[in-house]
Amino acid sequence: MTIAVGFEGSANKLGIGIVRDDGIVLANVRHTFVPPPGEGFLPRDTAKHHQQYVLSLLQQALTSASLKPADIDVICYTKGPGLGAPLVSAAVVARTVAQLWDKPMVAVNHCIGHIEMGRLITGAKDPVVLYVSGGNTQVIAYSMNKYRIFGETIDIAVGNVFDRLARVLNISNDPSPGYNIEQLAKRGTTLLELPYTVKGMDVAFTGIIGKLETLARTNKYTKEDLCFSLQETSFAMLVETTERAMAHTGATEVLIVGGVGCNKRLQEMMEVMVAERNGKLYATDERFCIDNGVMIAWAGLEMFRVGVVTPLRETWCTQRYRTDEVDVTWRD
Amino acid sequence: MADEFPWCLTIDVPFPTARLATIAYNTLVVDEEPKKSDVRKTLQLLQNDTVLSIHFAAREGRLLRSATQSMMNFLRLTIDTMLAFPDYAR
Repeated sequence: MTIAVGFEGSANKLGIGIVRDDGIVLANVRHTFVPPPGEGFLPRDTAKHHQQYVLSLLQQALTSASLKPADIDVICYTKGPGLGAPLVSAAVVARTVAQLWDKPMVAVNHCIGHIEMGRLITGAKDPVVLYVSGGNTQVIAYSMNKYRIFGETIDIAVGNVFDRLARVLNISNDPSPGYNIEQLAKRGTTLLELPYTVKGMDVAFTGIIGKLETLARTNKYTKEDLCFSLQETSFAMLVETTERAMAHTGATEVLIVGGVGCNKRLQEMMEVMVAERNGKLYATDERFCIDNGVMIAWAGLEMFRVGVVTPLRETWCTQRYRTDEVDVTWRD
Repeated sequence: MADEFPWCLTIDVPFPTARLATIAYNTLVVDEEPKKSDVRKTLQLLQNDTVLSIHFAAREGRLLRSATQSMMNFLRLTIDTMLAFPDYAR
């Protein structure tokens, strides 16, 4: 039985996960850096957070899995994409324990982590993947050993619009700005017109945040309506591009991953489209949607099983690392 | 060339064993400064591999300060990790 530990710290969530090669999750612990309302998370503060919590989190993961370091077979960490100093903070501990415990390492692409764990948890086999978070927005499908990006944002991530609207409206970042926007949106009644920008398979969101900021400054609209309008408009754009990817690939499954994927309204809107096409929608809850260590452990374990090992000297991190750069050697 | 990087600092960190010094070296040597960076960083092991020696050279003082600060944080993190697993850090 092969057991992998995964370190994830590419954004404001620090997660450590332990998973067994039969797909059983043995530990999934996380600590989130939550900035005060009106503020975003800055790289330096986030790195400091990760450095402060990573060792207690690692002990917690080992304890909850009832494992000793000797029981671990491979150490996986997030290589990128993400914020430099926070990524390195997790990687430094991963490198150190790999040497202390004498274990091999596997460098994992963060986006691939989301996709592979989404497939593991939901059982989706060959889905069109909508990956939506604070830093990424991509429509992805697998073909010939690559996760190919069919469409993506050409400016900022959809979750970044949520984060920025929360700052403008002084909405709490606890537990996350997106969660609080979702709750406010439930009480929205009026749909305000926002720029709906779909260019072929790609989407753009700066027009939406610009318009929302303008509308917010007039003080004529409620927070509830602003949040509601953001969700309805941006999610419609994502459903449209996902539908086109389904039509193009002939896929019948859709898998939503990434932090924004927790949003019930997004899942509901996607479900309507997928049902009309007689397909099946797969999504996960906040334990797995939001960045976590299990996704890195599981993707790394899949890579390790087909012989991928990252030499210690090459265990660097990189802020830019596209989903389609990775050779997916573990899938047919 | 030397004049372009006038701000220098060397930090020598002694470890109880060559193994631990080597682990720290292997951990910290991976992250290189960006190619076009205004800071140069060199790591080496001295005194029978028991001392980790980190040398910085920077174009400006403030760059030297931030590079050093960042390195000290990661150095402390790798040492704290060793201390967290004493059975494996002999």
